[in-house]
Amino acid sequence: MKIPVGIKVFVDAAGVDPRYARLVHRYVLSAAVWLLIGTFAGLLDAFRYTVPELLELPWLSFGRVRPMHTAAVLWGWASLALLGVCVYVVPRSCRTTLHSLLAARISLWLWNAGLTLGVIAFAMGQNNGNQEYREFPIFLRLGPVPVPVVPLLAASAILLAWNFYKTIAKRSVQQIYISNWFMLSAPLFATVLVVVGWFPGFNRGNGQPIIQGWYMHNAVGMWFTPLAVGATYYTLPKLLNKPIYSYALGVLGFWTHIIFYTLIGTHHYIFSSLPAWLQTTSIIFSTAMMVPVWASTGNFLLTMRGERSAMRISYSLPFVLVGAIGYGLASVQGTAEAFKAANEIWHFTDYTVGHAHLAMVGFVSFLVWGSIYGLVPRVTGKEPNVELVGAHFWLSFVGLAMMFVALCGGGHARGVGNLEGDSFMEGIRTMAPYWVWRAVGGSFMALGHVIFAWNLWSMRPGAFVNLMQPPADGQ
Amino acid sequence: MISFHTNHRLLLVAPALTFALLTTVIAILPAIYENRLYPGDPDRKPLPADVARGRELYIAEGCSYCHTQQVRVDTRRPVGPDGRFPPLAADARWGRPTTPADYADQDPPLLGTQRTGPDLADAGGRLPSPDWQFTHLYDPRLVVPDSRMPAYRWYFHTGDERAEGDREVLLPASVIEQKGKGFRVFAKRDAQALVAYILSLKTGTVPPARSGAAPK
Ligand code: HEC
Ligand code: HEM
Repeated sequence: MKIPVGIKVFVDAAGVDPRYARLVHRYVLSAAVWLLIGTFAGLLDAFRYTVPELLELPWLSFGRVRPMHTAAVLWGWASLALLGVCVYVVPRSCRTTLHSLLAARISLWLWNAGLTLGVIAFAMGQNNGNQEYREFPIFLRLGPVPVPVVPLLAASAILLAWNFYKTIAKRSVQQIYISNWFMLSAPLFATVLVVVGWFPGFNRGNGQPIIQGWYMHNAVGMWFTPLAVGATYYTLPKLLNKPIYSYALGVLGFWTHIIFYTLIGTHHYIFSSLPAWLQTTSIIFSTAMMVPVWASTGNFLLTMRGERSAMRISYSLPFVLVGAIGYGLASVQGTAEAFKAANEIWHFTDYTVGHAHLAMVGFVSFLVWGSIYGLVPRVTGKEPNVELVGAHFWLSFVGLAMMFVALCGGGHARGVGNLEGDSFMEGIRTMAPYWVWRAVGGSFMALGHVIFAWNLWSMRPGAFVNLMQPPADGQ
Repeated sequence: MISFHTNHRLLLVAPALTFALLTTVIAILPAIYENRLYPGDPDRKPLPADVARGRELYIAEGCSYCHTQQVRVDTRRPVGPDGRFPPLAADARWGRPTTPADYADQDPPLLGTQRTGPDLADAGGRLPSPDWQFTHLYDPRLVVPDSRMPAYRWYFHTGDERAEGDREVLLPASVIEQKGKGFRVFAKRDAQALVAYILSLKTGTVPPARSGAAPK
């Protein structure tokens, strides 16, 4: 039996300020555009591992497209999608309205403008020293004219933090719900990341890898993870219509996350020239990360326990389920990678790239998709086609599984071969078939992303007349 | 009573402050300390213009997404006769381990995180022929058939005309055999800079740990 979800959505969306509905939708739609750009950049580089001559244009060479891919999917897709979810969750969970629609709109366009200029900079060969995830130059130099890039992104984050703070301050409930802890803190963490990450003077000598490890790790850990976890603390109870399994576990997760996560950046530089005490600290706290990870993953899974029938009829809950499990798996994998015996084999191979995709797609993106499908119809009043949501789910799931197995399997095979004395080119030949499978898996995912973008478009606000009709299946 | 559940001011300040403080202890201070410990050579001359330009191009093209400049060290094993720890078994083929002092003069150093292609810390020592480097950069598959490295053809031109500042590449016999006698490749200025940079990457000697204190 199908629950007439349409009616619920209709009730929720009734009386929503259409400007607010459009704002939430625009955040997520911008994110989807960046997802498509980033996906096709990734796909281009993925196919180049098999056909290196593909599209030989100077401004689209492998090493210029790669930061375009990561910037578009990380700072474009995942960030904007999560911020869109925040723009929904913060006021809703505070039982109030967003402090300033205008400020949120300015944040969105500052962010979009910063990203666009940054991607142009990469095409022109301008980047911040190939330092991963902070490749955006502070200024894009168009001839003699410096155009700000990073300052736009920083201004956007600060403006959002202020907007969320003011919204929480005028809440009409006494308690500040746990989602807001994450959502208020993350833009402030991001501000610290930007200031330290781009501060001139740190990035030289043997100090650079210390900052780089800290930055790389906390870009994921203090931005994407708290936002995705915070979003799920709202979405999951909302979709299941019951409270989270344990609120206290959420609070424990919040604080242990901040403390442990910050200390483990150097696990990206095991066996390096960095001081031994930093490497050891990072390995120890990489293990301690199991506490916040399972506090959240376990909390989500225990909340979902016994909800089989809800899982079957909902088109958003399966995404949340995969995302919650993805968080646990990616984190266990990350802890394993920090141990020396494993690191010696896997580090520098495609194993790491497999891990990155499990984390950013299997965990963050799936949770975001769950929140988007679950929440956006509640402001726009329009639901996507359920079959197409299913197509998106399976294409992304199967595609990611293929990509993950190919990259981690191949990376492991190449790493073991290297230790057994394979020549370097033997290592390349070992990887060759796995690279093909990565590109095939990536193509599945790309198709899924196109369908997702269409689904999002079909949820756009505006045609409110549709709401006056009963749900399609007549229930 | 102060409570995070009800006090939004506290919630604004405390987590961000915790993060900032821990960051100072685990990243900022250690980074400053490392750079004090290894200040680099006080009498260092700036890089020659072409090497510096080559380094810029290396960054612009994102060579570090496939190449590391970082040979790892295994501190779990006993030190060798030279009093230094041996390289990690997985890295032994790339030469001596990188030391902090190797990075001292670099801003930013280009350690890389992925080794799709070989480590380049000693690229100039291993492959000192400029003509091999030019040919390889023009089209890696001319000299390494299974290579997955992109061809950087736009730093070259073919044909008969040599433009101002060009350098003709002495192609290996196998390439001439394959492409015919009339095939000529000219390296533009930027290609020459890039190769000058690659050839400058050598780890022949271990730099003194504290250049500042080292005898001249
Ligand atoms: C897509 C990954 C990729 C990118 C980007 C890339 N390379 Fe490579 N590179 C390789 C691979 C794979 C090899 C090994 C096969 C070969 O020798 O061509 C290699 C080999 C090399 C070698 C020979 C090293 C040796 O010891 O055999 C040099 C030098 C080199 N690359 C320089 C560069 C420079 C300079 C750039 C940037 C302009 C660059 N590479 C960009 C993948 C890449
Ligand atoms: C849709 C299909 C996708 C394809 C084909 C793809 C392909 C690629 C490729 C080719 C690389 C470079 C790997 C290398 O240098 O060898 C890469 C890196 C990366 N991608 Fe993707 N990608 C896809 C989707 C995504 C998505 C949706 C995200 C995040 C939300 C993502 C996050 C990343 C990250 C973080 C890295 C850097 C990995 C590292 O530094 O180790 N990718 N991807």
